[in-house]
Amino acid sequence: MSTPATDALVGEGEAVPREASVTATAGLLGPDEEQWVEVATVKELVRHKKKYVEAGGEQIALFYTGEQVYALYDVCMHKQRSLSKGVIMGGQVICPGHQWMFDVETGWVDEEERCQPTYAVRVEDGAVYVNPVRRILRTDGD
Amino acid sequence: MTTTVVAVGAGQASAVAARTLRRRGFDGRIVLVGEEAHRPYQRPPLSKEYLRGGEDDDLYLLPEQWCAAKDVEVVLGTRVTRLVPTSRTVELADGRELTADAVLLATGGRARRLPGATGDRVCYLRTLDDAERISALIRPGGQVVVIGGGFIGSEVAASARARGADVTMIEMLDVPLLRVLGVELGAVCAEIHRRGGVDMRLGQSVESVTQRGERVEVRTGAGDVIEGDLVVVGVGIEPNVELAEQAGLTVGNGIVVDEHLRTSIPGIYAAGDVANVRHPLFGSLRVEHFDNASKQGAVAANNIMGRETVFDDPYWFWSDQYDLNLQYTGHATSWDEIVVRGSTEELSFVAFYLRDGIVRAAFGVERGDDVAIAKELVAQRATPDPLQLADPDIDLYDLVPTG
Repeated sequence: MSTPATDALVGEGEAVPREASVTATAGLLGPDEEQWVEVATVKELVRHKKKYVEAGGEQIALFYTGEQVYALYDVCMHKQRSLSKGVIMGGQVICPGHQWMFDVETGWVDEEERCQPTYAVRVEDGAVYVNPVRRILRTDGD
Repeated sequence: MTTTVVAVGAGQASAVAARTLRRRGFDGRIVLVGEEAHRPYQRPPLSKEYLRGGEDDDLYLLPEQWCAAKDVEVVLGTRVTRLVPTSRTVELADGRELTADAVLLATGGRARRLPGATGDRVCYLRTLDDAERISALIRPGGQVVVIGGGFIGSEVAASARARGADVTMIEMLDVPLLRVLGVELGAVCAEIHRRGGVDMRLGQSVESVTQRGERVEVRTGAGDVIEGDLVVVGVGIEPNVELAEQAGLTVGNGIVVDEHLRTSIPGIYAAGDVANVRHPLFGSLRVEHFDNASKQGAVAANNIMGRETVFDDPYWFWSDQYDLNLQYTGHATSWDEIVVRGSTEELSFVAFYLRDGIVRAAFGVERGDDVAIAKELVAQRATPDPLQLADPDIDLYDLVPTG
């Protein structure tokens, strides 16, 4: 599971100033159970570390690191390159286009006040499920 | 206690320094002084998106709103005429004086001029105004002559082609980027331009550039005469060191700084295109790229705040030409071996530059993923087996010593 308890849906793909955001303590804007889509097996992600999938009309990049599966919107917010053609290193997804780095879990760019949308992920019996609703996770800032 | 920071120059390095200072909680005064009339902006799009005529929302660096909220003063259209090093006082052309606890010199550079070439259609590309002028002169079916096959020249050529102009590139050396990439990979870059429809005149010097009315004529050493609506000269930049020099700072191929970006005088730092840095991996080096300016701006800010930070980034830059994404990491002026992973014919490869078995640099075309890993190899002075390095079946990441 990679879904932190502070998920909040802010908008689709928009850049949210980090410092303007607050930590959401309200309940999870929960994905409808029916929206979970099976997209991959843990086994293939362990082998390839990443995979491009489509679900619910969304282009999604899956990454595997630290024995966890994460999902980000595949189209880089910077210049629309495909994040699934990038690499995952040190907990950061690195876009192949211009080396923008996104936190694999939250999608936030470290030195820019911007965020790549992510998706909630669930793993059950070796199968990876994604809720194909783009979200911007709020953070506390630095 | 640092209470006032003045940055001379309002480009990438200064903007990132200001952002970093505020993010780290610096609550003193921050003033950026820029000679250009424009608000701080990024230069990379000038030869790419901007010249192709597309909009670029990312052009500006520090929105007015942010500056107001963060209390960052930006003084535009104002030249700094003098720096008094003992008091760290900066004198502005309008007569104002600013005294700071820390001064960041991020004065950048200016386009190197071609001697004897004059006329309003003989263009250089450094500033937003330059880009506007060039963009206005490029037209579909028109002729653009590019002098210099470096990154600026290459991107201008690609952007002019995208706008439907005929382009001739004149490069003095036998292949573009010869000194950076070597003959084999430089030849690949020439091929990229040929495939993009550029008339390549390699190994040719420029004898004269003459504007007649609305046409410019370039005569090469080989006797070729090439005409165009405009000529764009991209033959490098000269670092703006005059202020530092006059203040008595140590200068030599830029402003000389240590690995903490400190100049020879306490409280004065330099970053970006103008800074000649003592780099832990590469020795004394001045680099003229965006990412370098960003990272050095952040490192300077840290050091100004007393958070000792060494600048040891292995360097990285990119170039977007035609539909291709080129990237380079590290620094190598000589090498024993170039190991290619992928296919140069298919324009999908990464080339590693090895000296004494150590990966010193890498150049990739459409291989941003591999270049990201190559950056780690360079940073760690890795000595991978060349055969494994070239083998696409081996995960490159497995060759990083402490992956």
